[in-house]
Amino acid sequence: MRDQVSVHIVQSQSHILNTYDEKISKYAEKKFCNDKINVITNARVSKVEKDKIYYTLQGADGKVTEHVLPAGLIVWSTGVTLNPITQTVKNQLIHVQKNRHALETDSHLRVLGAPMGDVYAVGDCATVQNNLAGHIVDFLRAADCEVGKDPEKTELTFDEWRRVAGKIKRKFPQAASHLKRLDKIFYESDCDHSGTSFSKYPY
Amino acid sequence: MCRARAHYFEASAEDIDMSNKLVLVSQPDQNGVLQKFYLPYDKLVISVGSNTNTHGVDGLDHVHFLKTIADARGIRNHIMDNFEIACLPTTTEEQRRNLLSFVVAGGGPTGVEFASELADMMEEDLTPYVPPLLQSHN
Repeated sequence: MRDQVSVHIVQSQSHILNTYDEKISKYAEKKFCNDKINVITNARVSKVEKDKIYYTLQGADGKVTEHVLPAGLIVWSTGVTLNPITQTVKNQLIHVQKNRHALETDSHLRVLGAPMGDVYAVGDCATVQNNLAGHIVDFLRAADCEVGKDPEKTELTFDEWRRVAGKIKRKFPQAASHLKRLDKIFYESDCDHSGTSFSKYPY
Repeated sequence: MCRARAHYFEASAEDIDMSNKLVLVSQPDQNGVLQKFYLPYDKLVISVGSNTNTHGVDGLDHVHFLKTIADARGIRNHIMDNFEIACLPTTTEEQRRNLLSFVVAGGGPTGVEFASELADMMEEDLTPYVPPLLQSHN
């Protein structure tokens, strides 16, 4: 009877687990291939009936075709959306809140756009907005100004960078492991122990 | 909650007035009439979780979501029911194929984990116990 049992996954993107690393996604697809789980990608569910599921497939040529799959059981796990109350809050702060699936907060979990420090959001209804890359220039500028250097044309010594890193870590605790890795890379590349071997990598 | 001297209201938050620091709360009373009141706050923590995204698809009353314990129990009962019906001698092969076709919509972490658990369940827990009559159909 095993050959009469079938498990299907209908996925709208071109791969399953597409939000994760490509390796994970590939591994899962290979495993499912071995386990005889039928993965249908690039498929959008259009309609559900009691014992059938209708979906459209977009082929490589961009042509859309309709398909039907018999279904004894359908499990719907296509992600989450906002609660009515979260939606209400988002609408009030619409000029700041742009995420469609959750309220955006800063790294201290304060809701962006709300009066500072009054309203916090945690859990599934929230997402931490940590735009570190956007802040990195500010951090470096501030570090240069502190020691009285011209921010436009200066090199940071490693010790100065460590001070900046400490500040980044305080503001973005999630960055700690990446900063640690940066330290390691630095020690590896600083072969003459001059403390400034970042010049090896021209920006 | 008693030790923390906290108050608990079983009610829904409907709206938040951030400039006046008020939450509009509503709950039906014993006659089913919706009662509303404002609750003031100094600090507000929003931790209401999330809803399942329907993507505007029709007919979702026929599907199982996977969010609560009740959902999980419902899925298990449904699987077992289908299996029992499939094992009856009166069920045709085509009906059996349809009953035992399990579809997961959504290839995110939830869907992938569910699909692999389901495949394991079929392989290891259920098919070894299928009546011999049906096994000979292979």
